[in-house]
Amino acid sequence: MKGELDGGDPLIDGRVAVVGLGNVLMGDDGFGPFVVQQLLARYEFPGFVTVTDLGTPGLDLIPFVDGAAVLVVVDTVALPEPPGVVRVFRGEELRGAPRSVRLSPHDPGLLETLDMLELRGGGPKQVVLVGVVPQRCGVGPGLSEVARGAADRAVAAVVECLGQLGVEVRQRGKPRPPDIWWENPVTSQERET
Amino acid sequence: MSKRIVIDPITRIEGHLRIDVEVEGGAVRDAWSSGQMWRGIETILKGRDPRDAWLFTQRICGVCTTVHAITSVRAVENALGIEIPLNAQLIRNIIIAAHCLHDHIVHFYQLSALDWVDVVSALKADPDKTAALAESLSAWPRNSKHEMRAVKAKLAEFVERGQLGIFANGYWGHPAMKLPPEVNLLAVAHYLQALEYQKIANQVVTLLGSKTPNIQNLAVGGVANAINLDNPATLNMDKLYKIKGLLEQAAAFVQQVYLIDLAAVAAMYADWLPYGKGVTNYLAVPDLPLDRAGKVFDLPGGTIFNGDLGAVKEIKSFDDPYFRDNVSESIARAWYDGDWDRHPWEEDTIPRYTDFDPNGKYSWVKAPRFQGKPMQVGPLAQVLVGYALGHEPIKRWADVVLETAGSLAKAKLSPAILHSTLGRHAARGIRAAVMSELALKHWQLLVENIGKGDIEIFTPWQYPRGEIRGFGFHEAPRGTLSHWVVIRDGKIANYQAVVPSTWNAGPRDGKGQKGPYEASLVGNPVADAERPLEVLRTVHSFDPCLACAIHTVDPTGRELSRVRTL
Repeated sequence: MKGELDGGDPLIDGRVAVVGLGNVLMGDDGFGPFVVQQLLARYEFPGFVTVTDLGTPGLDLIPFVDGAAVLVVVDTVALPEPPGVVRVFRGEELRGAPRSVRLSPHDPGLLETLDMLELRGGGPKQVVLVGVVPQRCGVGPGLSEVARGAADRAVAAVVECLGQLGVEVRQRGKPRPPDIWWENPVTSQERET
Repeated sequence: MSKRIVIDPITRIEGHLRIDVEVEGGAVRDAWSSGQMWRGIETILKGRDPRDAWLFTQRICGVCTTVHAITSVRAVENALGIEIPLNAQLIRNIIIAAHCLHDHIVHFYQLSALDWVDVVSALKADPDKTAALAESLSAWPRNSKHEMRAVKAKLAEFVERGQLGIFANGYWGHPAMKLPPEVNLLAVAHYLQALEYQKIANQVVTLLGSKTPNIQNLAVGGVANAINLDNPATLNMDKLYKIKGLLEQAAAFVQQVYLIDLAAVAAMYADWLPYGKGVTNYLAVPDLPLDRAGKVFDLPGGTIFNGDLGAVKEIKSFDDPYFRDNVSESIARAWYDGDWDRHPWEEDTIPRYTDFDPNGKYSWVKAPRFQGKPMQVGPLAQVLVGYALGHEPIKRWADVVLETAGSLAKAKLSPAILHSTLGRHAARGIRAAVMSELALKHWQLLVENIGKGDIEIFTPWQYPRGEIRGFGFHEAPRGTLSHWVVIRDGKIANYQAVVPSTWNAGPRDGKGQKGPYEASLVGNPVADAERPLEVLRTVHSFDPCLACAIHTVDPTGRELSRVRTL
């Protein structure tokens, strides 16, 4: 369960943060966490890169983004394109969108977090969003076939984007099985903790 | 002529909180709270091993991860009838307290402060006067002239670049904004400092939980934090002292900044004290157990009906039948098949969506009831129960807030003012101050217990044959959370989570009794129907957490939210 990277503490030593967002209990909304597990299974990352499944943190993104010079987010995106399409957004493309009414702590999300950190000073200098258009986000764990098929493209997009930033990631000689526990339940006792 | 205002963020693919208010003569005449509450957890968990339940339930909500994990293991432990080692209780307690500090700080500064603070007005402030005012109120070292000048300069630069997006819907310049520029600047400075201190509190959760936001260190029967004071890979002295240092920093911010800011806001908005009372039945559960069984607690729980503190009734243990036997949920006005009112162990969840009908069904949220009555949950419920029971730290910190606010407002403030929108904010700060003390107390208890040579962290157990039932509760940052589990031959047969925001945001029930949000909005002033800031003030004071299901980014700039007037 706890790999050398997965167990790292993004709060303390993270300089490049790769985060998967989304709810693993809601079908394709679990795309971000799924891709994070694929990345951890297939690649080795340098110590200053953290790769983390954050779920649906809303405003609680702040502690994970704070202190990262580069932020790469994997998430589902709402786009007028067919399900399974993977798109990469950067900087201004992302930041231009209007902010939502704040009713609950989930309403402020990625954009608001970036705004707050920028105002304080010290927010990430580069932000990249690797997004997939979801097919099904209903109750129940497990990706649709379309989203599953898009995962490799999202993995490649993250690796490419890290490469462009000068971050070398190495493919593992022998990939580990990805820890997609929400699709393959095992008992807690069998899990390495 | 009355007007209908609908506040409806539409960021998510499905589900969120929607508030409808009917306004007449500048005040709310009637209100409806509608939302998407998680409604599939029992479907996902049925047939699974109860030991896995906490991993799944902590994914219900990305903000309330830890709290669902802890409540879930408590529910299964209750069904099994097992006690857990003292170390396990204390480690869980420190996680609970640290998570609470993080959550309360974020709630006030990052989510709610802009309801009261006019950011743009801060640009007119004299930073030296701001510093003088701040230094007269608190010993906090980061209130200096230098700090206030720097914040003002940064804010001016941000505004010049047109980057006020962060404060969009903050309604600056709204007629209901009343703070002088100097206080607004002080609040902006603390808003930025809060970003650091909520992170510090969260680091404690990471150190003990091995990861956040989804902790990994729990097990039914205890925790997975191996204790060996000399081993760098386990919970050792080095980690424990790091945790202590972080808790002390968070405690200083809560006691010297958060609490004082709350008192100042309450004093300067004294005209708001009569608003937002709503349902005055309160429910809180005891938490921070001091023993293995969960019979002695550091935070009090109980019920209060009709605001009568004298008739408080205590909830005494993790197994108290007074709680177990009196909770039910009504679906009379929610989009499920039927119109029953049932105990959580007996519930089912069969969605049956019909249109939004204010006279019929209008929400996905079920309406929880205690002895058939709507209950307000949250820090205010716990503070009032504690006050009524004479809980020393709660009483002491409540008096600090009331006295500080009273001296600023030049009025004598009694605990009765806490039944209000501002009272809910004040109570959250009081609870944070109490938690900041108790976090360090439980750290001390843990260190002392380990010092005695006790390193036990797990109670072994086995599933019995046949059916067992259990419930677990936790006084989460948003209030009373309970999980209810039915286990048959070692597999989950039913699972229900009754979460704080359902108690508060739930709809009317079969008897037409309004939920706490709805009741608290009635009579609320609304100066400008297009910018219903006052409605947001009251809703935010409950710290709503409803849109738990989905996270999707919309990079194309479609309409993301709206306020409609009909």
